[in-house]
Amino acid sequence: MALLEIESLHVGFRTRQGELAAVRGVDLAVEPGECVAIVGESGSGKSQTLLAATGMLAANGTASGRVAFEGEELLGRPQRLERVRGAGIGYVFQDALGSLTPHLTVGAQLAEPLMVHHGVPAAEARAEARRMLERVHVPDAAARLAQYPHELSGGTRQRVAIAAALMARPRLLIADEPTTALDVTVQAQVVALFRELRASLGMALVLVTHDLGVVAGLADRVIVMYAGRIVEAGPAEEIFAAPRHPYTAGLLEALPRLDDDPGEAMRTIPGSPPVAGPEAGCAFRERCRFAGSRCEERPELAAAGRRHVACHHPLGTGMGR
Amino acid sequence: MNVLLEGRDLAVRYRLSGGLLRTRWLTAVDGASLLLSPGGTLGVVGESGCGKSTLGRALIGLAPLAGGELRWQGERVDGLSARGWRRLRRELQIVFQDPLGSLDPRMTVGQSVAEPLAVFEPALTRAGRRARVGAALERVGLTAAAADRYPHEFSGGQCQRIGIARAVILKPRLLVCDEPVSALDVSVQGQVVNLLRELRDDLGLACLFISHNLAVVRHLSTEVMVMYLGRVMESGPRDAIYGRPLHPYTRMLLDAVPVADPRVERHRSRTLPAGELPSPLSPPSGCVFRTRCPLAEARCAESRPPLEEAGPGHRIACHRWREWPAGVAGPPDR
Repeated sequence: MALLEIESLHVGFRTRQGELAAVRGVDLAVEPGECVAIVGESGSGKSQTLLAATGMLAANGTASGRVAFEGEELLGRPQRLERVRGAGIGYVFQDALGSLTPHLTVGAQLAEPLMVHHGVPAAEARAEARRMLERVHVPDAAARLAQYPHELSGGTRQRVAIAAALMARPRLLIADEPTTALDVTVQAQVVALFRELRASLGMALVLVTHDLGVVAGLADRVIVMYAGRIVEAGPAEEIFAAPRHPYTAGLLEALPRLDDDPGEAMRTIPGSPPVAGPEAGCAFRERCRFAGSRCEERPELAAAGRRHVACHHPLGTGMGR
Repeated sequence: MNVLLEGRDLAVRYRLSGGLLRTRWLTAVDGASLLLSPGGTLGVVGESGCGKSTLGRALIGLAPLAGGELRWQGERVDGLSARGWRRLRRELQIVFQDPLGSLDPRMTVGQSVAEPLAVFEPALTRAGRRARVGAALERVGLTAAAADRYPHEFSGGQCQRIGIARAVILKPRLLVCDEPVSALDVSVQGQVVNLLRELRDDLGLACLFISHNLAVVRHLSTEVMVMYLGRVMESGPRDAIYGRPLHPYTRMLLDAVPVADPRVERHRSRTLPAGELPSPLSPPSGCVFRTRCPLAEARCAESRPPLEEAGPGHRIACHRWREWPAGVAGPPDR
């Protein structure tokens, strides 16, 4: 049984301009212990998919479809959601200041969920908080327990947020752009930490990010989203080595590398990601160099072995160029 | 080579409200020297708090210089009044990180782009101004019709193009770009980098390109300066910095950049700076990087390493750079 199962998830927002469709039918399953990266740019719906699945949508958002965690239905069941969020699923956000409570000391916010959800006595919860801080390599863990989030550096704060998310030993950790706000050397340290924690704690990790470099270091499986839909999915190594969707290929080419020829112009994808993709046809077609008349009809996500792609002209299959 | 801007030993200090009798100073930049020439780009890299943005601002009079000499076309400008800087602003422009935030949402794109014209070419007729705005917008890859619309109608990449149009409408000679692509989607970043490169080459601009993204900096820069905690660690021609980095910090920065290949990345071990960034209010004695450097020894705490010439134009501030071939914190083979 999959740990997390999402079926035909739709997410919409009521705005002054009318209903905005952010997620338009996403299916995905996360197996115990695996790391799935959900990759996409602004407006892809990657964050909203996970926020909706865990009942954390903004007030003007609505979700429909089916979400199950360890077989239990979650969507529209606020009490169950709250229990699962406290114990089964941990969440880490881009901005660690946002995932931590500003007026609580590090010790208090780490210990509290254990006391509330698991009835652990305060002294024991505090000792566990300290052990968890040491586990995520927060220097001087004992002293940090008495500090407030704003007293910590960006990197340490993100480590504390990760520790807080792991206190109840969740089976699933969702990390939404966990390294985006960090400096490059700190970023590399946090990626190494996630790798270490997965090996020692065995939890599943869903990484929501736009950063393909971070994905390469962590993910077993990659799901690429564009304009609210999954356009490609498959094993990380295969997707990086031979992307099938022209968007995935374009993203990989657009990534500047240290071994590029600096004399050449950077590779780009023309245009920009849509705020809300067109209802009809392939949402990427206006930016796609392979687009043809068939693309006015929306391609379904089709499976070929472990690879999935939603494209009428997939690359490397003899059907594209 | 004709030098447009020359900075020697530049320092920027901020006075902080300390206790009753004590004034505390924050040294944001200390001892930075640089040359900018038409068509050249100096990339300034480093992590948060390294002083790269402050340095960029100081070069165009937006941050106060506390020491050093700054020359614009040979003339001292470091003591210039705000008014003096305003006159120079015609030739020195800046592009900011946040494309939408740097445009006034209540003004049309045309009004925003025309702002510098109103200051420096007030005699221009309405039709003349409109023509100039249209040309500037077209120059950055937008249509002249964009002038009548509002910033929120544009994507992040387009807003950054608008910001660039405003910065180049007076045909400046120096452009400071402060993290101009950091807020943009990956698929769009390259468009803006390529545009900046075209403009630099076509207009013969001198550029200061400030970024934390080392791969992007490599694309655009002819020279690179690596900063840490307000000090220059290493500077030199691009190929020397990327191909033969000498400073332990430069090596660690380059080593931290991920490679988009799971086969490489999953098994990679890195040497990264130890511990945390010290407070800029009490920087370490001697070499400011020593508290995080695997090579630090006693003399690194005792004296500040001078910037020494390690090759043509390649300067490094490290007591131990000559030992590097046998260094212990070298990067993996690259």
